[in-house]
Amino acid sequence: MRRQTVERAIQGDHDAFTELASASMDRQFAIATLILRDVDRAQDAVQEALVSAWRDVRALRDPEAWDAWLHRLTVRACYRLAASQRRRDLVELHMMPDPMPDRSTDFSLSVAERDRMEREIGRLSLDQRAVLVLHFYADLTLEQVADILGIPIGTAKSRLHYGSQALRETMPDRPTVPSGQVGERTA
Amino acid sequence: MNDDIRLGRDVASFFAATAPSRGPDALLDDVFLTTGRLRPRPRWLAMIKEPPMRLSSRPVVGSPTTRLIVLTALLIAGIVATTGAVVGAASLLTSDLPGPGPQNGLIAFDSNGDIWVTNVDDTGRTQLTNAPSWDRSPIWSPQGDRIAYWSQRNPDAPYVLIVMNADGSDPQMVRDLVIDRLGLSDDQTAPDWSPDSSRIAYSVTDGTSIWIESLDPACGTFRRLAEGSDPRWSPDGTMIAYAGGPGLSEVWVMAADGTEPHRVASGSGPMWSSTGRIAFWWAGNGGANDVWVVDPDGSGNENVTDSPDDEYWPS
Repeated sequence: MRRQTVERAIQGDHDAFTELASASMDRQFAIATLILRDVDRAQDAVQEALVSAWRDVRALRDPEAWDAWLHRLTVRACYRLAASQRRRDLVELHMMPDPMPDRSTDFSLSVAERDRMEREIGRLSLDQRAVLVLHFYADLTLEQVADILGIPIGTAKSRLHYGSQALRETMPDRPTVPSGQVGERTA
Repeated sequence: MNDDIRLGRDVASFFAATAPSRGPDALLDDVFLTTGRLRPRPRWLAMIKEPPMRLSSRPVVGSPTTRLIVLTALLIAGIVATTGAVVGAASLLTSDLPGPGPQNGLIAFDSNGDIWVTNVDDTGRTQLTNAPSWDRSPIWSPQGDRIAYWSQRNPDAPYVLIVMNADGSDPQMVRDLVIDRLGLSDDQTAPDWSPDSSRIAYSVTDGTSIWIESLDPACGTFRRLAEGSDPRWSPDGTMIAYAGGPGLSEVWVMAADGTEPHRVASGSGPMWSSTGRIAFWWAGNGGANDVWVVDPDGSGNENVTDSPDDEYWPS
């Protein structure tokens, strides 16, 4: 069904495109927000990506590649917006925890740890943050991340390594918690 | 649990907890309002291969309008106007520039796979290439008499480097890459002319390795200089700054002939100042991305913006 919808969009069916865009928008918005750390620019990025997706939908040869292609357009738009904004006064809007995450969440991070994580992730380069978001949030393999970013797999690994290393250096020592107890609270 | 697993779990947990679960409803309304008025481009005009993502100092991706606007801003800000002569483009040199502009008063840009030039007020727009191939990333020579650009005959063909006169005449293929450019973005591969226009530096890749080459546009001979990307000639033409090291996350400098490569700092996007120092951006030790400057020998590294906000791409 999904493949048929993409094929219809490739043929220029706008209704099919609206169906695909509606189903994809929330996830693309989340990815863009995490990468840019600015909800306004994330909105611009997703809008730009979806418009580009429609304009260039006929370039999509493999209907199965719709998701990866849209990821690529979104991240590419994020990069362009970040670059175009570099000479302007950047107003960094700190993301607030979503009051109603749409899926199960590991709340093993304390508030202090989450604040620290937000600060440290904000200090990463855009290149590193994009890899981390696609790998840890979008749950893509590094091979998929490299393909989306259009970079060699070695570069993706390197960005993940150095990004993780930067975060690790700031991590406080914590006692090891058995995975089965993650998120549990004692009364 | 080892550190890697714990870190990965913490990062995933943070992303899951802070990512918005829904996008704004108005976003889709805006998208559909726009796309409802547009028709998809024919396949031959669409970007078959989307450029890889990387902050670009050269606006060669995006819509033609975006490219033109950003390129205009960059050129006006970055290029010193002179009363330069342009070989073979006299008919184009009619602009009356109100201020700093390109050497010949023209802006070159790519649109829908062709190279165009226009005055800074967008008068006199002239199409220089009109081939079935996809032409992109035009870069003026410092004297403004030639343009170098990449050209791809079809989506599956390798890129070739072409140099033509400012009026589009006498295009010469000076470098047949015979390899795919996949894996490098436009800014990483965009050619950079030496100050005397005698050589062009650029980076190429076969998908696994990235290296910088220096080419003589007069005869097409080239030399592989070093592994890296984003080559930038120093103002005096004796050195090249480039992105190198692990993940191309370091600023390196080498002599113009590729000798004496050395790391000068951690950071990205090296760009020379007119005084011979190198500006770049770096997240530094516990801070946002700031603009830093350093001497070519690695000394005098200092943060010049030092703010809690991110700054990128000094020029």
